[in-house]
Amino acid sequence: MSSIDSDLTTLHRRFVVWEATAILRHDLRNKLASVRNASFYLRRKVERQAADLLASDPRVATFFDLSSQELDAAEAILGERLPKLPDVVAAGFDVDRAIAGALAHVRAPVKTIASGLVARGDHAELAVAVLCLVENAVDAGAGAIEVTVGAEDDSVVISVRDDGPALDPDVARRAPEPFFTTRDGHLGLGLPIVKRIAGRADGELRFDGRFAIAVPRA
Amino acid sequence: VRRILLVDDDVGVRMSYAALLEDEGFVVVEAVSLAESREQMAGPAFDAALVDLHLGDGLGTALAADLRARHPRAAFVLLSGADAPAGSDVDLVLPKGSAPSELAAVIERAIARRADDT
Repeated sequence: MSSIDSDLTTLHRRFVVWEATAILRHDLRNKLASVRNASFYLRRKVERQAADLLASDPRVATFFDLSSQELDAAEAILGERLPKLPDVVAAGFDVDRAIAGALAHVRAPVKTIASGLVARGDHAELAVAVLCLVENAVDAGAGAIEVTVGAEDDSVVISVRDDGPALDPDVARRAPEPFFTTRDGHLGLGLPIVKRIAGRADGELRFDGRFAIAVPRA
Repeated sequence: VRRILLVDDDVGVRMSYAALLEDEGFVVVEAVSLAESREQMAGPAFDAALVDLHLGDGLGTALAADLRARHPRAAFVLLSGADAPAGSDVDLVLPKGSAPSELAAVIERAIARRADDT
């Protein structure tokens, strides 16, 4: 395995961690915001309408303060101590080379035809996205898998097609949701990672019976 | 009285922001999705929309253009738990961890900024 291949495996693993923490960070911040707002509302009500309670039991004010301090501490953990996605470094790159880098890690034969197209983004991140899409097809039991590349307006569209059964529409709709999976032992982060990488490149995850990633053409 | 469109698919977030705003004298109209927000925009004018970035049926930023079209004087405040994209139609980004004591002032500032721009 070359150092580039090794880097791709490491980057793939990092994306699993980054994606999981990004999702948890977002969801926990929602919950913390609700608690912070509710606590503030209650404190203001008590101060305005039940000042005698604050005077008779100092622990009431202390616990309001403690709630606020603990929420600040939790926010700091989410914001500073959990791993974060690095800033994307976008540049023009050879799409065929990125796909070849991804396919070197796939344990099944995959057909692809050189496109000669150049996209804009991070080539290693795009390789991770392609790897996730192809692994999805492999894990679904597809026999013949093909990665197709085409130009559409200002985008390069990379689709993964296979001979497996068509995806149930409800499953397809939910598949990009974090942690959604129909397979035991899977995390359900593959498509969220593809969606994340596409977004970081100002592109998008598409579905037209099969999943595809569209990124800007350089 | 200020009318605010509050859009978030998390019931706890929505309920708590609505309580804070109503306590400050705002009239709050709640929506849980892009689709419901667009239905509400067909009604009486809003002074501002406080919109979560990630909604069940798409990104909250998609509502900015609808708000501009239907209520051009209304401020668009993006509520986000993560790093939010600032767009030309976004008057202000409010991180979800922001101090509740500053919420009303933030909304008023966004409304004033929007008024200056129109």
